[in-house]
This record gives sequence, structure tokens and C-alpha cells, in this order.
Amino acid sequence: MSKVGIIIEREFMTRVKNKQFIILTLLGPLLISLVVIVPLLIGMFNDDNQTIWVDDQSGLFVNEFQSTTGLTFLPLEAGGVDWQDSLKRAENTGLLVIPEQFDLYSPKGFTYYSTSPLGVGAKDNITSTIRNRIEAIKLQESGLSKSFIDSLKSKVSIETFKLTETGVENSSTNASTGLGFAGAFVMYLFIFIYGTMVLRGVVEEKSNRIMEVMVSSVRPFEMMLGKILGIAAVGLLQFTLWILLSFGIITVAQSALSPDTQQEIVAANAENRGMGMLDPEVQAEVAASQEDMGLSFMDELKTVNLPYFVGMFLFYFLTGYLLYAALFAAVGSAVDNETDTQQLLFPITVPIIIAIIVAQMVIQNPTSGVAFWFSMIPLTAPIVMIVRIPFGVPGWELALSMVLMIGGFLFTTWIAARIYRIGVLMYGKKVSLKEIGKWLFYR
Amino acid sequence: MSNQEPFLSVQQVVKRYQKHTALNGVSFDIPQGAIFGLLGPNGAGKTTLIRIINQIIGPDEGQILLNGQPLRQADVRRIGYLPEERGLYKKMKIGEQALYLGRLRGLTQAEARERVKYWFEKFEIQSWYHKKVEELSKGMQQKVQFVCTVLHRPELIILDEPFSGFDPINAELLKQEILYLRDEGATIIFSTHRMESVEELCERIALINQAQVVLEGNTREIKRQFSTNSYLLRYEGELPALSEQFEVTHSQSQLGMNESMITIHQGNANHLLQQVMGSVTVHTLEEQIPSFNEIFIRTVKNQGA
Repeated sequence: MSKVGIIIEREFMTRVKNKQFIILTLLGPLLISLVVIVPLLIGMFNDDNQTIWVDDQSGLFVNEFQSTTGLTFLPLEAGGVDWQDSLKRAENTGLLVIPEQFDLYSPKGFTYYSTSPLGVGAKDNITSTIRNRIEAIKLQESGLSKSFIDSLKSKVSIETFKLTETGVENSSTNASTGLGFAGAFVMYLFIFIYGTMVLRGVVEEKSNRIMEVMVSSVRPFEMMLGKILGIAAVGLLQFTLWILLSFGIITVAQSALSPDTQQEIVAANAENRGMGMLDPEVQAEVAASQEDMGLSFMDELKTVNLPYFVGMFLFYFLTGYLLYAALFAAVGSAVDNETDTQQLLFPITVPIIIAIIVAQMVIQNPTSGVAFWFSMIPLTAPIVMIVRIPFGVPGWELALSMVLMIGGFLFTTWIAARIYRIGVLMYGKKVSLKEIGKWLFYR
Repeated sequence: MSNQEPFLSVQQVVKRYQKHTALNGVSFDIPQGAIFGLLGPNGAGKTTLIRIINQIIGPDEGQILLNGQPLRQADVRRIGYLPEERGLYKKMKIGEQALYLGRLRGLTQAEARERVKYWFEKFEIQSWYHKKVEELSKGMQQKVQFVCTVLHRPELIILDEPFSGFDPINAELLKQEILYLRDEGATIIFSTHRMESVEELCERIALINQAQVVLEGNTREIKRQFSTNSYLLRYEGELPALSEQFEVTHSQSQLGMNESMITIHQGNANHLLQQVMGSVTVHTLEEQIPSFNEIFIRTVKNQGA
């Protein structure tokens, strides 16, 4: 096995066998799944049934308030009940008072009494019910039919097509945006997490004084390369595990919540959004349209050439990581301990942060000049280009960017190796950027 | 041995840093199978030279020949280097660490395993195999580091201050191992500023001061060269008047015993004895051989003046 191979093996094995790595690898997906599962669980277990007595003095809202899961409306019987007293004794119970007279054009005077505050969902439910009823009354007064008004409302959706040389392609802005930005974000995370790991590894070797034994056995360049590649393997493994485990946990959790409860949850969600007053037919429609939206996103995703995207992603992922990891290694080699890294890390972190900011602008306009230039500069290209790729990038631009990327990666590695070579043996001296610049020209 | 080609030949090596010259035309030869002392005060350029021999850095001028051939990158596996600033991976088991370093020096996994076993048994540290470095004392770490240095059976072993941090028992153990490795055919460079270890082990030395070799050669010859021909005589009685070839530089009396320091300008110790034997009872006559410490200090001071 080559020396680089032996180093890769060590860098990989010591990290993968580390307890911290194992815990983090298992904990990551749990956290990700929690983001998905917790809202589902909250929907499931939120059975604090709230009862609201409606004292409809105007008589306009008979049977208008529809009970939903978790929220029961009951008409208050006329009569001298000591409601204040009974309210104080009952939990989760409130009283809604609708005044006898109110101005339809500026409705006021609705009051709610309870020992516990009114939840946002319930409040939305009440206000939208009242609003809908008032609108209906106004409609009646104006003599227009509801169906006529409904026919006035128009739902507009734009289907976007992209003209290419071979014809017309169905393109999707939603899917492109989502995919591009997700890609850029993963790239950003990867560079930072594993770049820092490289930095720590180098600082550890230096502060433990193992460097001199090592550099007399292998060339500093081989050492640096072995470390960077070994950690890349760690990163790829961790990321793959995170994605697989997250999917696994989410799938299991979803099937554990039976289909019935899921439907209930969907219904509950719909109601929470203030759709409780809709009759079942409309509800079905809403559900159908939601499903529609979900389906169309999947369809949209299909319009993006996924293998092409994944291929490009891997290319920029790899070259981008290698480029930055070399720089992180160079910084690590120049300092004696981790606390000294801040000042030297600055020139490395700035381009990454600029890239993320530019990426947000690029999503607005993927073909702008800014988009072009920042996807050519190797320091920002991995993040900016990945945002552009789902929108389609001209072949020559892509080719140029990739060539520059490879060139940039070789160049930074060369620079980093020269800094590394000198830095790893330099102890007890706090170095400046200027000093590091000089190291480039040492023999 | 002298007509043989030197095993390692350092030729006119120059290394400059921005503000100072670390090595200024350093040359010396080391014969096969010798224990060679590379001496000098701190900052003299020893470590720079060792790094050049290890090809960690390159010389600005001059060259280094190994068996008459300029050093190549592949030669690193013929060299074993124990740096002064030495460390190990804190979180790694020492057995794995030794295997790793052995493999990086060109051993296969199986070879490395076998030799780690051999050396760990020899040093009676098998039970440490699964321990992490952070659990070991400094002296224990030194042992492991020495094992790592010689694991791949290097022809040239470079030890930079090998005895620092060793207790007397382990220092003795290490000394025996160094002699054993020499007997097995290894050539050993021994870099230190602690002179007492030099006298016991080194056949040849080179003293570096201010980037230059100021003294080089066979240990015994150097001693003779620095010998002042002073003898310490312990006796009872009254010292007679001595002829001009002898000079009494110092006399004192202690517990009824007289001591005189006598420099012999001509002749030898036997002549001195003949002159004094009739008058005094001689207890001891001892040649005052300069220690390397004195030679070192004298040379460095002379150069500074």
C-alpha cells in the first residue's frame, strides 16, 4: 500500500472508531427526523379538548360554528346561568359573546371569557367563522349569488417552459430553486465541518510534536493529501449515513402513525388554518389540491435532469472540499494551537460566506453577470454553480468553470503544501499572513 | 576502516535562513558501523543538519552522500530518526501507533506486527500494547518512541538527545540497545549537548558551533590533542625539588595526605615517579584527562573570543 494509502487508512479508522463520531452520526438523523415527526406527534396528542359556549345574542350565527377535533362549540341556552362561576370551575372552557347589534361594515363588540388564554388556532377559527358569515350576509344584501362570486375568483398558475436547441422543455422554478439551494447548503456545511476537522487534525499533529517523526517518513505533501482524503471519506460516510438513517427513521415513524391518524392530522391541520367552516365537499377539494401540489413538485423534480445534477454536485462537492481543505490544512500548519487560528481563518471563511450570500441573489436571477463571475471563481464556484445548475448552464460556461475549478484546486493545494512544509516544523512563533507569504518562496 | 568509503558523507552543506546562516560549509564523514557524536550548544545548527540528512528540508549548497550516492527520497526507509521534539498521537493505542509508523517506513503489515512484538517483548512493554499514549508516563513514551525509530531496521539511526527524560535504569537499558544495534551493523548519529554520554559511547565526534564544524575526529585522538599532560600525585612526605621538565602548578594538604598537580613538559609519568620515589610514599598518580565538557567549553569559548 502506498504511504498516502496508509495515512488515509489511519485518518479514516481513528475517526470512525471514535465514540464522538458514532454518537454524532446516530444523533444527527434523530434530530433531523424530530423536525419532521414532532409536528405530527403534536397533532396526534393535542387532545386537550376545548369547549366554547357561544352566546349568540344577534341570532345571526346559528349553527355557524362547527366543532372540530379539539374544539367544541356549544350554543349557550338562554337563561340566567351564573356563567362566570361555572367558567371558573370548568377547565378548558370559554364563553364567546356576540352582541345583539353590531355594524356589519365595522364589526366590533365580540368578547371572549375564559380562565385560560385563547389559542391561536381557536382564535383563527372564531374570527374566520364570523368574517365568513358577515361576508355571506353582505353578499345576500347585495343580491349577488355565492357561486357568482366564486366564479369571479381565478386561480392562476404559470407553467414555465425552457426553449432549448432541441425544442421545448418543461422546466420548473420551484424544483430548481429547492434543489439548487439545498445543494449549496449541503456543500457549505460539508466544507465547514470537514475543513475544520482537517484543521484540527493538523494542529493536533503539530501540538503533539509528532510532526517531525512523520515528515522524516513521508513527504509533507503526502501527509497533507492523506489527511484530506481520509477525512473526505469520513465525511462522505457520515453524510450518507445521515441521509439513509434520516429517511429510515422518518419512514418508520410515518408508518407507525397509522393512515387513519394521518388523515385526521391532515384534517386537523386544515381546520387549524381556519378552514373548519368549509363543508366536506370543499374540504375534499382542498385536500385534493394539496395532494396536487405535492404531486406537481415531484413532477417538477422529474423535469430536472437528476443524474446530471447529482454528477455535477459530486464534482463541485469534491473539488470544492479539496480546495478548501488544503487551505484549512495550511492554516493548521502555521499555528501552534487551535485558538490562534481565528485571524488566519478569516481569509478562508470570507469567500465561503460571500458565496452563500451570492447564491441567494443567483436564485433570483440565475443568468446575471454576478452569477456568471462568481461561478467562475474557484473559491465561490462550488456553492454558486450548484445553485445555477438546475436552471441550466451553457455548456461552455460549465466547462470553463470546471477547468478553473480543477486548476484552482491544484493551485491552492500547491500553495498549501508549501506553507504546510514550513509551518509544521515552525514552533513557538506567532505567524502573520505576511510571514506565511514568505514561506511560499523557501527552498 | 579508514580506507573504506564513508557510510555517510556531509559535504560543504550550507543552509541560510532570512536573517542568519544555520550551517556554513559543514563537512564530515561517518564510517560504517560507527557511533558518531554530533555535538554543539543549543542553536548551533545540529537540528538543521539532521533535518537535511532526513530530507525534511533541502540544503542551499553542498550535498550529502549515503554509500557514495546522493541522498534520494527512497532512502528515508534506510534511516531511523528520533527527534528531540518527539510526540505520539495521544488518542491512538501505542501498538497501533508503532505499526503505523513502521508501515510508513516501508514495512508490510505482517512485518511490522512481528517486529513490534519482538521489540515490545524486549523492552517488556507488551502489556502496554492497547494503552493509549495519554495513559503513559513520559519515560514510557520515550521507550515506545525508540521502538518506533528502530522498528524498520534502519542502517542509519539518528538520535537527537535520546537520554532526555530517561531515569538512570532506562538510560542504561537504552545505552545497551544502542550498542547492540551498532554491533548488528547500524551506524548511529548521536546529537546532544550533554557531553558525559559522548565519552562512553561515541567513537567519533563533530563539534558544531555557530554554523561551523570547529572540532572533528576520533574521540581518543581529540582527547590526546587536548591533553595538558597534567598529573595528580597523592603522597605522604615531603616533595623533593624536581628537575625543570616537571612543573608543580598546585599543591595542597588534606587529611595528612599531600596532593600536587604536576605538568610534565618533557618525558613521561615514569620519569616523574623515579624522581619522587626516594623521598615520598606515592599513593596514586593519575593523568588529568580533559572531559569532553571541558573540551567543549574551551573550544566554544576560544571560538567566541
